[in-house]
Amino acid sequence: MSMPINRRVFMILSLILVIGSLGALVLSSFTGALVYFHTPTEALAKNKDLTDKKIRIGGMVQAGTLTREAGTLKIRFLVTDGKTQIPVRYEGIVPDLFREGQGVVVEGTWKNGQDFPADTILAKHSEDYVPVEMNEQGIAKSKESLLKSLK
Amino acid sequence: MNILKKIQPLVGLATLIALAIGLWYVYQAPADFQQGGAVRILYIHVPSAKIALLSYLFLTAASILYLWKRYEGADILAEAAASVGAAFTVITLASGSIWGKPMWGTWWAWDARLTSMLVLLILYKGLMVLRHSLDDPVKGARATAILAIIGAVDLPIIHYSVVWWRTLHQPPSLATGENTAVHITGPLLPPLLILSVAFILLGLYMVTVKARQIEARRHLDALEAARMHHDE
Amino acid sequence: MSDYTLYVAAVYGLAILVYGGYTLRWRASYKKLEQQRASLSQESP
Repeated sequence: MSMPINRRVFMILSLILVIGSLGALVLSSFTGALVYFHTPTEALAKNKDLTDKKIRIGGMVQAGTLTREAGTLKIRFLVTDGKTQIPVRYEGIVPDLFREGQGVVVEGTWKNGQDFPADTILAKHSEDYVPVEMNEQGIAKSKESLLKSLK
Repeated sequence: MNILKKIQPLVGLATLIALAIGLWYVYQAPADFQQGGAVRILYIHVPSAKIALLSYLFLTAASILYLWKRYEGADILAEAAASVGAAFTVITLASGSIWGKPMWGTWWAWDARLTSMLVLLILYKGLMVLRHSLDDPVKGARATAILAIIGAVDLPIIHYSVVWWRTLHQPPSLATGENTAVHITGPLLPPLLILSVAFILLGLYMVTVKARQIEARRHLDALEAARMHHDE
Repeated sequence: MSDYTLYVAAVYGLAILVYGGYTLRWRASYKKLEQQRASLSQESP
């Protein structure tokens, strides 16, 4: 039975799109391509492989390490997974959830043995939701969840 | 399907009541310690995501039933679930994106959770296109059912994505199974629970409405076909 | 803390538009189809 040409095109396109995206997803789930970021410990361990590559490092902004150069948008801080710290520098606007003791994902080019020059900063939210009047409790809880998720 | 006609007003009423109570609790909810008022986006995002996945589960079950027993009703329900599931997936992605811009600092990230959710939308849309791209509606229904069952592999990937891989998206706040834990404290929790129930009802209502519309269309098509045959 | 009213309003507005919009459209379409069917079956005995 002959099929009108546009219908046939739709059928083939929909099949390619569905099977293709599904296949790509399943395949990439085996290759590790779905891992969004390295922890600081991993990044240091894979030091040589990562040199001059664009990578993401995720962890927590270590409390007490965030400094801002007066009059500029330049900041520095340590990103930690509880074991290893990596110094990060960045210039620009940061997301609203970016703060000390909270999760962060930094993107940039890994240079062996240097501070990590981030060109993008994303805040990583923990799974904790706490009313604003219970602030202290919330900070402690989200720190704990975040470090647990980095193991 | 007479049963749909009977339950539609009941489910509709229950949906409206549950939505009203849920939204009242959303209005009363305090600000979150990190996100401030943006936490209210969660109350649309999380229940929508749940229904987006539940719709596909329902669609898969209906597809299996259709291929096995050839009930036309199961096929109609599968077709309805695709349209409803697509709507909930769109809102899940859009609300997540609107939350992500101020909170994460980006509209979109190609992490495992977001990517697998986008694949779900492609699945729903693909199923809708495939069904109508075949001349013979019965062949279209069977092909769609088979593709739907293959696509179900995306469900565990979405569900476990935040556990299996490191993602930008946060892990579940209402964890079940091994490490049961509730990460939502005090008055921030009730709106989520009530709206989750409300959205289950809303999803059910929308499937009912859509299924009756599909059934009416098929009846009309059959009647027109019979008349044409008669005229010849 | 910043004010996120606009973001929240956008999400709730979009949800009402999509869920409400589809529901009403499908209900209207059902009614129209049933009317067409009724008139069609009246014409032909």
